[in-house]
Amino acid sequence: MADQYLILFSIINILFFLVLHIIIFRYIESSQVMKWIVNFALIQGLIGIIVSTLWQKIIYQRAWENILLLDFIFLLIFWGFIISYVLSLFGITITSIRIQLLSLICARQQEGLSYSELIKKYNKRSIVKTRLARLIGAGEISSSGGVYQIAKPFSLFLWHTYLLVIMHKLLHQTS
Amino acid sequence: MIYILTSFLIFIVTVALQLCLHIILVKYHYKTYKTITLFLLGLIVNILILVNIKSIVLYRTFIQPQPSWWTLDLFWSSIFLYLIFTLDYIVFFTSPYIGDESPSSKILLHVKAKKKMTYQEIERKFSDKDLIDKRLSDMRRSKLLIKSNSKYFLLPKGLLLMRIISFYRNLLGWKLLG
Repeated sequence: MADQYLILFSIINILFFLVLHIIIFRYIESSQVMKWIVNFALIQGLIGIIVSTLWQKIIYQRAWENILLLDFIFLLIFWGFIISYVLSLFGITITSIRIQLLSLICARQQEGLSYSELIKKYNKRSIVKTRLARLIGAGEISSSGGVYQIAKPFSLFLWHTYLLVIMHKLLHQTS
Repeated sequence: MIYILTSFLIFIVTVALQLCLHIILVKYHYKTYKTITLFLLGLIVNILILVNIKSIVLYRTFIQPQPSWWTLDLFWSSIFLYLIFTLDYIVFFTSPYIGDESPSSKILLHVKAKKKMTYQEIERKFSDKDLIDKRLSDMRRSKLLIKSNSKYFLLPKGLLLMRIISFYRNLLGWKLLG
């Protein structure tokens, strides 16, 4: 019973997140995207716990330790899914350089796109500018008088970056 | 809880084994993505162990009818959680495996190391060769695009990918990308 409840509740929340974020994100500036998706996932996770706790106590009358356990596992499942969604589909389609290159070439599929034309439209300058805007929008970096610095000492994105660096060293040390 | 902990432990062991296998294979100059299939083996082992735990717990239920939070039957949730963790890991593993360095991560690390940087200092850390050329070559090798008469065209695989991506982008209504 608890098993089925947990899976069903998690799937409902995931579907709810997917539908809601598609509606809401149409109105969000793309530079604010990462900040919003983290906030959105946190808020929905917390609302999910509140709803789940009330539901389990009132309808199922479960013991508190079981309620807490199920809420904790729900968060693991829900946020686990969000992480893979953000890193894969969301991240790749919105921020990927490869996808942007493909997109530019696709727009000129009939006549083709030369390297010089491509570099004129999309180059290190546009990439760095876009990413700085995104990092500032996410609150990771601050800008003052043309100088950039880290805005917060602790951030999930920074820790994610450190993990990527470790993984990169591990996978490429012997190749 | 025991079901969840078991799934988590099996996941950790599978990650360790996959990384070790990858490192060993690369030492012998054989780089392959197929080591990811170890997680399928991990799933099978996971299911077998959880089935055994379920039998033991069921037997004990006859002696102690009230399940505690430790023995609460979460068989399917544990499998689901293992799959979610596996998906997270595969997504996380893929980018360093390909060798792509995220420009955002690179900016963050440089700014953190130097404490303060101007825009020009940040831009100097990048080159079109690393950001654009390398990716174009990769995509030619993956048969997503082709270079013909000094111009780039998408191949059918690339066109299909773009159709899917465009659909998703239109759903979100986004224009500023990359």
